Amino acid sequence: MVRLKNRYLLVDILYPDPKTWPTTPTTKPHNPQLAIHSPTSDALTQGFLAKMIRESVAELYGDYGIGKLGGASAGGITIKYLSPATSTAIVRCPRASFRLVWSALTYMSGVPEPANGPKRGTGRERGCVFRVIRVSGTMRKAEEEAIRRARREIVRVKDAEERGVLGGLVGGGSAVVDCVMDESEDEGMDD
Amino acid sequence: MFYDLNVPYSPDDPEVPHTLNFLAELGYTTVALSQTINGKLPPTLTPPPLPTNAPKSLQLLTRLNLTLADPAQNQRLTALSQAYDIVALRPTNEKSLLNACTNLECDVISVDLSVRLPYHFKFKMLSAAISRGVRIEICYGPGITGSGLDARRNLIGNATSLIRATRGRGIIVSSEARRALSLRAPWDVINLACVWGLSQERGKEAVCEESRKVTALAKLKRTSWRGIVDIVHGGEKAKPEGPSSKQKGAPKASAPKASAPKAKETAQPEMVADNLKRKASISSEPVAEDADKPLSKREIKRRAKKARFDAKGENTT
Repeated sequence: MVRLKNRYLLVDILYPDPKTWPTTPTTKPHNPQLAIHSPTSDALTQGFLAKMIRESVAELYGDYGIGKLGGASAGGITIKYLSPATSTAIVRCPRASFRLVWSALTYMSGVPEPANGPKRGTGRERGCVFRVIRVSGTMRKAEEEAIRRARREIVRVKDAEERGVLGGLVGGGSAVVDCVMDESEDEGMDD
Repeated sequence: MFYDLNVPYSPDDPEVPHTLNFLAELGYTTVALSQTINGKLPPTLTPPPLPTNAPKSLQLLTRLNLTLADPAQNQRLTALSQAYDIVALRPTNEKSLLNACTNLECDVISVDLSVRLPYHFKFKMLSAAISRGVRIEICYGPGITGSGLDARRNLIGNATSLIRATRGRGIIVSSEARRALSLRAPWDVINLACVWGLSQERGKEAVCEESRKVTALAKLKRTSWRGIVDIVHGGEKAKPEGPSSKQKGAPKASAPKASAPKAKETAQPEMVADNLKRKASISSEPVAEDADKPLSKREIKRRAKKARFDAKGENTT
């Protein structure tokens, strides 16, 4: 049996620039971990992300790169999964050219901003970093890794929150602490 | 275990905490904050104070970047290496690159790869540096964002030729990112190195092992005697002035005098052998070499034989 071999890249979109972090209604300072992993706008669709990657490959490697991706105009890149809420995506590409796609992702530095333009892509770019977390031969493993990561992030951020609250309440105030603990437990149940 | 040994830093920059947070988030464990100096050195040079609110998972080091145009300047490198964790040289022409590779006392040679270089890298020159324990650095930051197409093209071209010239040995990759946006995650950097022509293992080593070696070697050069004898803990309380002064990494000028006799009486044959072996890799003090080995090979052999003979005699009696 002949099989077309693919690679699945699990990609994470990070926002290091504090100017692009979403503004919170409260005056509470940002939790940097949370802000770095902040959600992506809905302007980024699966097709648009694929187009961005293809353009980046074309910019870096020219016609050779596009040809290497396989497929004619559509290219061999498919976005299998894109979750704007967690800023995670799974990109499928041919195995022979996954390093091309990966380096193209590394050289990309922005996603479209929603508010500044009715049409997609015409607005300002929001600076971001694409980080490839996992390269996998099957989609299932990539998916499992994504789930594992999301779980771990939630736990980590919650821990940080709790620690922050506890640090703030130096002298007593156990009622508030209890309340926070309860809340977190409730959320855990919801998950 | 991922290292980023070049993060430009000034204490009054408001972006610094964000950059450090992002570095920690990307998975780096050791970061060197670098200070760049062009031209003449100011009389007193101390590293700027480290940021206090850095994430706990990061280990912060200080680094000095010296731009080197004229081989005649900058003769105080040994004094500088006491103050900074890492001393890096940035040669601007071939002559100073040659000088840095063969003579100068430094830890890292970091050529600006984002401009068009009017010369080629030569294996002989670079291998001389690598065999001395000096690593060559590739900074990917200027090629990622902001500096335009030319910078990116030059960086790729120069990095490829540098990797070809060194045959992939002794290369470290670091960011030199002025903003957090041009930082990349370690594995992305490794992939970039793969695309530039390193193998995957070498690429990983460039971010982990080789960078660790740079920091370890620099530390050894600073604290120990010729990079051979280092006293981690003196232990005894009977001689308060000896171990305590050596332990704190006393300046190099005084360290040899203090620790040399001790080393001599305990481990004479090994030390001489070690000395000969390490001369190529760590030539920390090439001048003092002659005064310290009056023994000829013949004499060493004779003594060794005598010692063996004595030991045998003791065993039999």
